[in-house]
Amino acid sequence: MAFATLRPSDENDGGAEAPDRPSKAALAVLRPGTVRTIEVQRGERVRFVVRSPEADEAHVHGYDLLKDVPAGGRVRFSFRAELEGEFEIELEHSREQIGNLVVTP
Amino acid sequence: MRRLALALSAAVPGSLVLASSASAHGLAGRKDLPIPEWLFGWGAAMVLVVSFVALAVLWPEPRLQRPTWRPLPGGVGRLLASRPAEIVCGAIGVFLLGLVIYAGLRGTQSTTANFAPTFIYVIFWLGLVPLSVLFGDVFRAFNPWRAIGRAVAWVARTVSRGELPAPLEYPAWLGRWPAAAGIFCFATIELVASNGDKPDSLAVAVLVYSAVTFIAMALYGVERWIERGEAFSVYFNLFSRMSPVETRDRELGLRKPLSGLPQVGPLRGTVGLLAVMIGAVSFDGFGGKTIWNSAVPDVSQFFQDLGLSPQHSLELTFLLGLVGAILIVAGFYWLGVLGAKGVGGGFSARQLASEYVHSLVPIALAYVAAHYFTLLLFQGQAIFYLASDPLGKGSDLFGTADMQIDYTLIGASGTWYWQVGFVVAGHVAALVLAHDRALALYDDAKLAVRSQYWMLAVMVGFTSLALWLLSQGNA
Repeated sequence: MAFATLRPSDENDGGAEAPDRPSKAALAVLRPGTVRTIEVQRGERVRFVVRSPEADEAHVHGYDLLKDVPAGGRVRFSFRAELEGEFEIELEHSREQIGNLVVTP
Repeated sequence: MRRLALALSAAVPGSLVLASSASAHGLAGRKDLPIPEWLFGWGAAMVLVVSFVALAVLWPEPRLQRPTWRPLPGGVGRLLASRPAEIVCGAIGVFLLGLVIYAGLRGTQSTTANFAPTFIYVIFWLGLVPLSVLFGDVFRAFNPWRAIGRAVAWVARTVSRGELPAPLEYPAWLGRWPAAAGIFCFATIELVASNGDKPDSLAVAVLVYSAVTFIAMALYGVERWIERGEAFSVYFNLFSRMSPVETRDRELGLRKPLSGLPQVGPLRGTVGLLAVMIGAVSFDGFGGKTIWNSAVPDVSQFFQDLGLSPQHSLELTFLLGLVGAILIVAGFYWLGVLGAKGVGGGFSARQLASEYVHSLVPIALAYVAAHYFTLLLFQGQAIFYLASDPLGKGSDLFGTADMQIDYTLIGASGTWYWQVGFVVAGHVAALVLAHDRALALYDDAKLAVRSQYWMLAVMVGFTSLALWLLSQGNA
């Protein structure tokens, strides 16, 4: 299982597609086929990108954030982690889990 | 269920992704974080200290074996247990049963937007547990099958103008086994079947169960079947025996907490039922964890190599896990019983097993409470908007359809303390019950203490397992 640990950073989200960037803020890219875990502390900012070959709707459970993903395209999420616990990130139409948001106290 | 669906999508060749949902059903929007190591350590230490302190300070004469019961003052108890109240409660139960079946069959097939899955798995299955522990056998009053069975019997008596033919003698060997089987089937639908969170499948399961229940009631009599065979009656009744509230002769009264449990009665199948109860929650706790999930693909591949479809292979793997958990729980209890038999006193193992089994009820409660209380607290709120739109088709009967779940009610660390608190409290209650029974059982105080060591070991084992399950990371 791929683990993507996100830490808050002052940096911009630019260059999100380059996971091997030497930055401490490697932006997680969530796509169907794997379930990535994003771990943050409460109060930190959660940032990730969802990609999908087919048009779908990305859903962060608990926080109930919904954003459309265009076919073959991407959509970016950025929000403050205020709820503790573990939350599924799911592509709604294909009902596939693509990520796990873990917010620790 | 959802977990299984996910595992299934992942079991497609070429993908190594695994199920990651640790929730009981596709219902949980939020999952608990594992308790941190330091809290696990403190919890375990507390359990040991409490156990030894308890042995030293608990009373030397049995105190819970003879029940005390006083009616509620001012006739309130009589009013609450009166026939009109019984008819109203029964009618509510029947209405809800009908609503669940109707919503399941006719409503949207989305698990979270349909009334049926949340009502069955959260409000009914989880919500009635704390209600039973606090207020006594609440489900008995609302039980739709009992209400219908009694109504039918009443009509039949009235029409035939005489007594109905006597029901069959309920066989002694059957005991509580039908209830154990019923709870096992429920757990299988909840944790193993890949369509167990689908509203229409659930509605069909409810219909089948209702049919079985009515046939059994016709054979053995309504009250007898409710008391021994109807799975949910027996299940909630066990928890209600911890409650200070008890109904006697149509009157509500108060008794010592826990004092209903020693009267559980030595019916066959009671150990089996408790093993199913504790084993199913253990498996649900274990099933989302890394260790289990890393074993699933291999086992499932083995069945696929035998020619099963990927879905059936996974279901069979999960079924094995569930059965394995139940057998481990039962086996562990029997080990303790055999140890207790070894100290002498002339009791058979079967006798001892049934004498101590009621002390497992608080442990079963602790497992349910620790594992599911956030699911009840959060997903339980969904019933407010589902009640307004039970079919998930956009209606707004009570103006609550737009309500949302408030996930800020309790944070992760608050959850941990409650979970460990439930486990430790259940442990203490179990110790008290076993202690009291040992005193009543043995004439020789020394034998009582020595047999208790074995039961103490069993309880420390179950409690440590509960804590360990809470500390394991979700996969």
